[in-house]
Amino acid sequence: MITVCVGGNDAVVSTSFISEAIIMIAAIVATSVFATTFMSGLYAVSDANKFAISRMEHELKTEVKIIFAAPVSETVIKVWLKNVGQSDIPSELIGLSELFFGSKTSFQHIPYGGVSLPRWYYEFVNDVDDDGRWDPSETIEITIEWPYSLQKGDYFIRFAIYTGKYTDFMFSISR
Amino acid sequence: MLITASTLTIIIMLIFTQCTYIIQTGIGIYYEGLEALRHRISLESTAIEIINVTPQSNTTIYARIKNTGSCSIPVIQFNKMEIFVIGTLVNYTYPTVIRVPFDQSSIREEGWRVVSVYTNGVIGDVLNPIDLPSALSGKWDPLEELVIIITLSNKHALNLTHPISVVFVAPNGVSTVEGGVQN
Repeated sequence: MITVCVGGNDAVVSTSFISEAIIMIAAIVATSVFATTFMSGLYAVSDANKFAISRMEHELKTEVKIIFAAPVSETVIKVWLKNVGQSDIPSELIGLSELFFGSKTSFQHIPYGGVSLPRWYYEFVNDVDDDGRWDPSETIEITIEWPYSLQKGDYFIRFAIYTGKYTDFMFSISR
Repeated sequence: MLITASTLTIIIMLIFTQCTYIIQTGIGIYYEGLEALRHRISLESTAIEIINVTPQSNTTIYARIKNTGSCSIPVIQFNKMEIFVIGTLVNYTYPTVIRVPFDQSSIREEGWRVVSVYTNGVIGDVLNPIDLPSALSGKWDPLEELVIIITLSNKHALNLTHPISVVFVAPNGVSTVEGGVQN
């Protein structure tokens, strides 16, 4: 009886140890799987947040202002814009900006470049470091070619950059 | 026991990672906000005023401009300032606009340069003095007045029987305008 009991205890201890080891391994695997899933989810949220913050920061730091605009002939208007933000704007993105011009009551979208009028194009007039980018405090000159002779009245200009921020300007012609 | 300990360790690590991320993001946002605030303060503390505009000839205009704000503008940023002259050219009947770049060494046919600096009506500046005539260092400090000369090319000679105006724009886009007549 004693021998059987001892042998039985050994068997019980051995079975119990194996069971505990299996449960422990299972628990570790389950925790690892949970941790991996949780961490990857956390990193995804973190990356999305970083991207959103970076985008918001870029939008906040990018700002331009029409510093002056006036007609220089009966059909040509010059507009000077200064980068008053903290970020530079690559030259290839300037052409992607939107320009609206016309009399105060009926202004229209002006296409960039092209062969037909109206159209607009730009040039750097103050590229201080000659890097071809529109850096803060630098100025560009926009030329609007209008198909008709500008009549007496109030005119409106809106220039919107690629981030969606815009700047407005109004001038009058009294001739 | 071991399971509890390892689970606790993983949970502590996760909380620590999350806290680190939140603190890092918070610090980043704080610095960005600080930078944006500094930029906004610089915009709001910049003010300039054209005291007078005096055409000397149809291609030469003198102007006196005062820094009425509370921040200084370094001389090295003068090439980021803009001057526009609005007037009627000789042989024309309608006004036009001429953009005049900064040209202290008078290399170009058309440009503007600083001739002298006044402080409270007295010639000279003590604080961050501008080294004239080269104007390579120094600052245009609050209450200081710049006397500038604007030179236009013969192509842009102005008909002085018509009114002229000068627009002056600071590097951050703050602007002022003043008209002038010939003496």
